[in-house]
Amino acid sequence: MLNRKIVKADIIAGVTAGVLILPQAIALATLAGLPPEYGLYTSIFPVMFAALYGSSWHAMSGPNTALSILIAFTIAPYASIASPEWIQYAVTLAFMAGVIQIALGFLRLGIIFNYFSQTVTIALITGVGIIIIVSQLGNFMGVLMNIAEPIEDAIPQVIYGISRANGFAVSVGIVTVLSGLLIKHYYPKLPFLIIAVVMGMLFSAGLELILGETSVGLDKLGTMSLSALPLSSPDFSPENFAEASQGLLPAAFVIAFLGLIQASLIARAMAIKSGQCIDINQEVLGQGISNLAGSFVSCYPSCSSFNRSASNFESGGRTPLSALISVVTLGVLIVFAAPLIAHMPISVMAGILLLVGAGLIKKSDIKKTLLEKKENQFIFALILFSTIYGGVDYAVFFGIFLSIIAYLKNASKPEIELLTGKEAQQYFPQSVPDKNVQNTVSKEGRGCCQFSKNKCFLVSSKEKKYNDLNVEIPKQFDHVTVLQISGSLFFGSVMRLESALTELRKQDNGKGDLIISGENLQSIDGTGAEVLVREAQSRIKAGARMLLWLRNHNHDAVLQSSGLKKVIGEKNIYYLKENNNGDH
Amino acid sequence: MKRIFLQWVLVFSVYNIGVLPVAAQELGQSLDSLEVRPSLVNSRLSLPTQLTQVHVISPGEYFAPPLVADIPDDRFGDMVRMGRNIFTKTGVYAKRYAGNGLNCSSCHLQEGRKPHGIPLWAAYGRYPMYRHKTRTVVTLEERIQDCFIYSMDGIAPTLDAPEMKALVTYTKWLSKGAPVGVDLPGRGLPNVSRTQDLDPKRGKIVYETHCEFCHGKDGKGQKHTNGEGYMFPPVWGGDSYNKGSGLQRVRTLAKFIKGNMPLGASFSLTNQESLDVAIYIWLQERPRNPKMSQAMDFFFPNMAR
Repeated sequence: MLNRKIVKADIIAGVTAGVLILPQAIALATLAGLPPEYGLYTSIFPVMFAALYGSSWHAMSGPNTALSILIAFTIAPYASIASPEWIQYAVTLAFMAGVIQIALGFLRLGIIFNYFSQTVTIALITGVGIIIIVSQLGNFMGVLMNIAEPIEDAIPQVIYGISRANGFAVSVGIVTVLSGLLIKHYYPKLPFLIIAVVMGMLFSAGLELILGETSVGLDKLGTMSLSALPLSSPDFSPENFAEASQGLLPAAFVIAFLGLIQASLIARAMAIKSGQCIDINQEVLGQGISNLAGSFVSCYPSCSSFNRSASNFESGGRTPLSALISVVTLGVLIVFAAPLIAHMPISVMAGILLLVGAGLIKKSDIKKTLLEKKENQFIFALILFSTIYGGVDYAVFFGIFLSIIAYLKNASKPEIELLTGKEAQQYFPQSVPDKNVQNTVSKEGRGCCQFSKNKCFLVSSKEKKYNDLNVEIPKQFDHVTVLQISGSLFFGSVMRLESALTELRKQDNGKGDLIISGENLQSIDGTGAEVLVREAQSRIKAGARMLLWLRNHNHDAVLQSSGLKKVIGEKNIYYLKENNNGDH
Repeated sequence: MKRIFLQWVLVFSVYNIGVLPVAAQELGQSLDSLEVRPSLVNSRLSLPTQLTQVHVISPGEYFAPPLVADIPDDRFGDMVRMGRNIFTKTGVYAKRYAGNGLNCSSCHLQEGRKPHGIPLWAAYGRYPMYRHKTRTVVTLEERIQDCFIYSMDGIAPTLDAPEMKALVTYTKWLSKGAPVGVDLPGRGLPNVSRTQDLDPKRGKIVYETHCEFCHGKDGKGQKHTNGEGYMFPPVWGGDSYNKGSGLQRVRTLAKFIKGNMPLGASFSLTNQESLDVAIYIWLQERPRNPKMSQAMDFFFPNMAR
């Protein structure tokens, strides 16, 4: 598994990742309202646990933008920012989220996160990006802002704050953002965040050199008090937890879900790139363990990070070893960088967060998902709106709801297709006793498909859906229609079948023979069978016949109970598995 | 491998639940009551033997702040305790912002209670106030920021920092019952007036007689035996207040010395002695004034004083 070459590539990727995570770790901790130390702890321990126990070899765990925002908005009503209670609540949240995730992993429910619509995720992340940008404008200007405020209040505050803004802080922030954007645009391979931090700090140091620290008046991060093993424990004692439980409990579920949604998305994306086979439940379990264990070493909830996983893979990381190397790198780095980080101006950090927030708004992704389907535009707008106005937690619940709706809507659209030519012919029973189909077909060849010798009825092209049918159907008595139904036929989707059958009846007066090809039918329930029964009854009454093709005997119980078998007759139901002849 | 690791993690976390305290909660714990802290020395108990002007606190003369034992046992009390911890051990509990070896209580003696020792209870009711130094009206929080920048030679805590909140809460608790907007007796520092020109040579003698025993010959103070922080704070050198702080003004330092030094023998030095030793200390090396341009500092070192 490991050889020299892979180890070397992992070490390079790990060192890169360890350096890259540093500014993000500090900035995201601040976003979550925590002292920067906790961002560093969260970039060390959960990364380690998730790498060792998770399924994906390339996904890198750690602090996450959406989770950080969510945590800040959750705890804000119950504690003052960065206070010991705030930290305690964050650690407790990590514990709860870990327990929920482990439960989901053991119940093997990881699969449900595959159904989370990608449009919803993109809208959510875009919303988070906008929230980050708005929330950091105050820090960017060196003005104290209220936290966890709705956006319609935050924006006027920013405008009123402009007059109080510290010009030096703004200029330092602008230098940071500009250098980041320029590097990203012209040298996309360089780590733009690190360079932006360095540029911002150099600029602020230059200002202070010329004008003096107090005259410049930048708020600084301050010395970090780091510990090698920062032990902590979740606190569920009534005096500390009870007052906040109302907010923290639902938030723990949202955090667990949001973390897993992103983790499964990343694990799958990485697996597509690397060809690794992902056990999604193992990944869920890995995330749960990393959060649970993290809560005992001063970590706040974390999940896989898309940017860092991708950059880890691109810089050559092939095994979890690179994640471990990144942890070691970060550990060594902060020992040396801590005195420098102490003098990092808050506006530089705000600039970094603006860059991170802008990076979350991916125009190409948004464009792609909006153009894909019309309903995506609606979902996108709705989720974006609810993220920004209602908060990330509501948006996650709402997004899960909308994903289910969208899935059901898709599932309720069985493909109903008119088959023609050879495709239709293959469904003709080979031995129909009274009508010599076999001969007819062979004699008249392609294009004729009817039981009797009357003129056949055909549809011009296969691509046309039934509703687009515009070929005139001859008013013969006994022509035959072949309808192929794929997908699920259930109470939610019979509408479409019914309308198709009604349309058909309009054209052939319900007197033609009907062959229903259900070999691609995934499932059929009583309601679906009922519709077929009714159709069969009316056609048989009119003297026509109805045939049913199925792939195998899976649906027999439904056919039996609904009486379909009786109505169309057992001999008229054909199974692909038994009649596997040359055509198939 | 993974399984062994997982087992280890589980065992480890179970061990943690029972045994170890929460790091975050340590901030609210109480200080060791048996520990000797010079800032707690009460002048009533240690009268000087010299026949000089003796200042004895008589009951009712000064405002009496509440006792430590009376800190309420609730969230407010936790904040007060955290503020008191920061106040007395700034380098430990406000490590993020402290820049030198001093504590808040190095200047605000007796944990901010001592009359004429810049007591907090006299300051709380006076803020927000106009300050000549900044030429603006400053709030208590902004004043504390200045303490951190100059006297602590560190980084200003942001106005929303928990450390700031704790310190203001402690100040508020300490001034429970004190009137607002009144100059209370014992406020700030006593007045001194000079009788002769100041002479650092005389000051050096005063320093050697009265101060050197605690603050050391090199002015570097004395550390606790366990090496954590100072028992007697450094009065100059890299670990002391910087050139922008209030005590760097000779008059203010003389007032401080007059009212509080030698420890336990307040008002035992004459005005002239206080001024002389103040100018001697003023001449010593200490961190640069962050208000001044570093470039100016480099090219014109004398202007930065």
